[in-house]
Amino acid sequence: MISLLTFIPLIAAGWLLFIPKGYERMARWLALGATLIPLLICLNLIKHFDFSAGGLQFVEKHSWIPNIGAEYFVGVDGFNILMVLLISILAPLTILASWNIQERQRTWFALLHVEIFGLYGAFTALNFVHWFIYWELVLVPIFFLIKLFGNEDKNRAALSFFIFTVLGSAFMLVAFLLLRVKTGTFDFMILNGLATSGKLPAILGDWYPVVFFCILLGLWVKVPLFPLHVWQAPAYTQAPSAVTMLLTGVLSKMGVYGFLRLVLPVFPEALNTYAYPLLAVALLTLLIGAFAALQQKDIKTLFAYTSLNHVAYCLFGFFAVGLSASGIAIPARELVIQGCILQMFAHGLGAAGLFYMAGILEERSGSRRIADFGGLGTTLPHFTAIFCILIFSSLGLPFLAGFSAEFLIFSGVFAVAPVFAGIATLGLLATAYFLLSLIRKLFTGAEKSPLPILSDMSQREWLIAIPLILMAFWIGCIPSQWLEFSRQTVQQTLTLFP
Amino acid sequence: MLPLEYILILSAVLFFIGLAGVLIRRHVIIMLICIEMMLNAANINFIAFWRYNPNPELHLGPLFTLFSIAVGGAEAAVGLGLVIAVYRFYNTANADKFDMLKDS
Amino acid sequence: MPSITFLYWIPLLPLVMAGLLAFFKPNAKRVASFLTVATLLACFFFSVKAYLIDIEIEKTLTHNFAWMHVGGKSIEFGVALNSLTSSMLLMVCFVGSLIFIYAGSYMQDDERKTRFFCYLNLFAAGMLGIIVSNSLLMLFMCWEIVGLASYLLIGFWYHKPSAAAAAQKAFITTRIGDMGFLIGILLAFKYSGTLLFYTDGGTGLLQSGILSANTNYFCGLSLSATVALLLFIGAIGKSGQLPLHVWLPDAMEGPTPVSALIHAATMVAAGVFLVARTFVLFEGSPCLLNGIAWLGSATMLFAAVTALGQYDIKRILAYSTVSQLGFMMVGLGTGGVAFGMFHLLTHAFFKALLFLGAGSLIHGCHHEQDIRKMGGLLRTMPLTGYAYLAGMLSLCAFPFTAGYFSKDMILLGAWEHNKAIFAVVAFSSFLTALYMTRQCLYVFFGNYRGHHHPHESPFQMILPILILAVFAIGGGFFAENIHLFTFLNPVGKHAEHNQTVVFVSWGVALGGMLIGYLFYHPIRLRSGKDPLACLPFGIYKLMENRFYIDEIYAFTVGNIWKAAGIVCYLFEELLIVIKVITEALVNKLARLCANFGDNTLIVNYGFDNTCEMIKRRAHLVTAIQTGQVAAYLRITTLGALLFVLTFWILLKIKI
Repeated sequence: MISLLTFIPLIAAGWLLFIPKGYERMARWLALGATLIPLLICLNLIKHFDFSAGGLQFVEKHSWIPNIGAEYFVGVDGFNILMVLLISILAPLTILASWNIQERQRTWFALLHVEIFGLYGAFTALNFVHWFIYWELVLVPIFFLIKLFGNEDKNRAALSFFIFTVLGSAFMLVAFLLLRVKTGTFDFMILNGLATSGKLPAILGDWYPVVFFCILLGLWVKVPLFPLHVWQAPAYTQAPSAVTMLLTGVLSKMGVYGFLRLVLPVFPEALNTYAYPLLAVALLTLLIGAFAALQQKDIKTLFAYTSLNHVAYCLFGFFAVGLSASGIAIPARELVIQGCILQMFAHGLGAAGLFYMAGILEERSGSRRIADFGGLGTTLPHFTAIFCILIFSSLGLPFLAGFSAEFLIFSGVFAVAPVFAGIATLGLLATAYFLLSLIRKLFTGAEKSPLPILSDMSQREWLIAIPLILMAFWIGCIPSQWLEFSRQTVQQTLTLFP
Repeated sequence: MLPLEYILILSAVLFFIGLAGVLIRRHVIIMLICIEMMLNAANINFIAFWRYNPNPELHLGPLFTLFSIAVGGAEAAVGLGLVIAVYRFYNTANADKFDMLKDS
Repeated sequence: MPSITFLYWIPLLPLVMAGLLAFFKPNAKRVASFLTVATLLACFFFSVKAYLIDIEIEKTLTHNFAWMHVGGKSIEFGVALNSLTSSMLLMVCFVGSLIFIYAGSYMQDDERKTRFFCYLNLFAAGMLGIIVSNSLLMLFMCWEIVGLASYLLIGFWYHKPSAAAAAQKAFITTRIGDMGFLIGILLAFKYSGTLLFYTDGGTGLLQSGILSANTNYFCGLSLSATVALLLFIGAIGKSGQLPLHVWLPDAMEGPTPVSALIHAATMVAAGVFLVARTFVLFEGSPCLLNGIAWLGSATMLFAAVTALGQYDIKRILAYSTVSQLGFMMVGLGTGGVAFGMFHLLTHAFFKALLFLGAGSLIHGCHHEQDIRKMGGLLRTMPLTGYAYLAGMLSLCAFPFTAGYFSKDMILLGAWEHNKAIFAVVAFSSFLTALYMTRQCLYVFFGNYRGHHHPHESPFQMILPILILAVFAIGGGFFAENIHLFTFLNPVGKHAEHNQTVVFVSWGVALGGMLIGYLFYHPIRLRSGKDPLACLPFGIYKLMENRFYIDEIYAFTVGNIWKAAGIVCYLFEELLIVIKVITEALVNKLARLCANFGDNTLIVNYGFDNTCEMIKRRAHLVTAIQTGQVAAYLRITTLGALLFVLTFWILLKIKI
């Protein structure tokens, strides 16, 4: 089932390339259909998902290149099921978001589908070789999408995006080759088993920290964390909004997912040892993200920094897993990891929505500068309402998606590192400040005269916004349903920690 | 019986006379005649090797020679045709004057 | 044991209505206001039911359910019913309904009336949620919803930049307090593992004493006191105490019913309610209670002094609210739950009355808010005027009005607790009487100084005002009759009746009004200059400009904030510059490789050059090609001979 889910977009991409000229309008229907089928499959997966089992489900395992230990190995568990769902929700929305693209439609949709294919693969593959192919593959369509369809400074943005992420991947590759040499396997589950029995540090010996830091560096760029986040803002700003939806919604979660899949079950000792420095880095990232956003003049750049800040919350929670405290009455580790997973999901939807709204604004007015707008509340009431709901979700208003995840993370981190959590609240405050300032500048006051007459949300745009808004409320009001997906897996994995 | 070497030497001499004629003489017709001489040297070899073969019952030598003479005749005809065409173009039969092969 | 699950409906009904109204046309005229009032009346009905159950059963009733399960622990939500809940519910629903009726008329002509009622419902949902909540987290979440609703309502006329700015300021300032609140929640959660106030098993935060075990947790404070302190920071933000009071006066940018509902009767009281709800945590620490009392009295004095220097009718009331909230905090700090809550309830009536009255005045004077441009309105708007005067008397604690009873209690509590606080509070009460007298003399007496023709407001606006006026005057007797004080505080301490305090109480109220009358006599106001303006050292200017607190904040906090932003921004820029330089270097390196390796080595000295050389030397070889057949033949023969010769020699050597 997972293979089907993964390969449908690829087949669609191939098909799209062979659609004859003059039938471009058909291409988008084909593209939409090819994303809806995986959505149905994914819903079916969820329907048959066994909540009481913590291990892998729907496993498909075939021998592939035995000589180098490569296998075709896919499966879902609590760590990635929500991410698969996230991709299958966002994929049709990105297609819809680029519905009216004017030139090179076939290339555009084909590249998007290759990207979606890579993302499905990257979140379900469980053998390093298999996984790494996808991990690299997702960079390529994004590179071309930015390069071919991006905004004014697209070439540089595409290049630095590619250089940085490939650099990270190189370190990742080195780490896994070392692991392969030492342990003789590329299989994530076997590595997890080795870590569970406590043999891994002994096997790796002096190489343990090297391997750990190489993997860390690979994920560091992808998330990204300070100071390797410099590729992020230009890439998010220059990419067309549909691509940015995928970039921020799913691609940035690949790094966090990497932490959950590669670091948490395999390197618990290292997480214990380096907990404080790592936590400090995450804290620094989230503060920098929040405060740097205060000064931004470009809507998409501002959202890029918001995104940096919010993804850093995931890791802020994640790194606290290595700490422990005595005398506390709550399971801090479960709280942070569950919060981290929920935050990935919630932010994926919310941030994609925000970038989409920014994209609409850009499409209508041709500008991204905040100063060019004003008084939009009167002319675009529906747009304003949706934008504000997404903003409030993003700044952590209760009963919306952001809050429940952030509360879990903060409660867990506060239990083990109160000072860090205390400082991080400054980030929350700054987020509220600049997001509300954005609302004030865009929507209130008098209308700016040079602005062309903008039209309110079209039906297609409603179609994109409504699922995102509904999900924001759903996650915010009934988080327990979403937490249920990952509960068993998290509990099983956390037995690794004393 | 005459030793084979004698006949071979005869044919070699004949061949080299022909060769020398082709290389030295300038008149195209003479060069053609010399080429025919070299052909005949080969024909003598055919006959000689046939005659001194362990089983001369197979009449391969005369057959080859007959073929060769026929081909030589045809070749001479084509050669003479060519000579006439070239002569008409250059108004001379001196081979040193034929320099159209050089790409200039 | 009666089921109390119906309590869930109290916040849910307005919430559903808010959701419903969000999909209405923005200008659906009467339907929206009718539905809203009906909703709140339904809530009022439930509140009465809750009150009756509560009287019947004295202990706290709860109903809880799990909101999230994480790692074997569940975070629970629920509702609780005790005297605090039921009295507050009655007040909010009752005052709320009246204000909603009033709003229906006040906002009559607004294009986005439906949206307004949608926000009002959202607000009511949040506020009622705070009251019924049995979980600290649920309370916090509703608290934030209330903050959101107030943001939306203050900024309702968003095309005015000042309204938008005020809305943002309100949200951010209260959020500063909320961060303290949030940390308090996290701290309580960390050590207790539960966020429920009460459970049937007696394991709730407020029952088990689980937090008071650690006696020296933070700077000499016990754990429970630390949690209490952090929660109090939240209350400071919401209830506009020093130093986070700045948002409240600015929030008067919103429509007047909003000011009445949010910034007088209910939302700002949420902070006081929070302290009252979690008072068990505060009790163990006299030091903390003392601090609260001092902060409250400082706020009270400060706000009363500032109110004396204001000319905007709503701003005066706003500072009055800040001052009265400080007063409630004094009550909580010196006496206990009942002292503060009693005043909260009576205050809600007369302050709502004053705000609605002010709204009616503003409406009648064609949106004129400056008291210097009013005057003599008692003649043109008699109903509003007399009702307003009733509210004013109650606020000044004129004997036997509602305000008198509650104020008396707090003064008694303060007298027993600390004489210095008592002195400050008494002086502030005097100032309260003074500024209210000033305002009323400006507005209702003398001659009209404006340029419009004031007129009485429509009946739908007058009715709530009159009802509230009845309560403002007679509320005290009513409260005495149902033994509200004992009801609120069945076991806590009771203040002893004290002759001195009563004397002081009468003295400051009547004295303040008398001096105010002499000082602001209508004849003296004709000059157009405020009588207090003659105070030395520019004190009056200081009061007029609210002690420049906003400017100081803008200068200090604002600049620090901005600086942090700029520092981060520059830092980012620096990183980007480093990135660009690195990229440029890489580029340079690549170009160097290309130039040197490709151009120099390969192009110049390698393949190309060789080819070039061959081309140049080729004429030597091409000389052989003469074009003469004979020459070719010769060379061919030579070649053949050489060939044969080579083979022959090779054969020879081999043999």
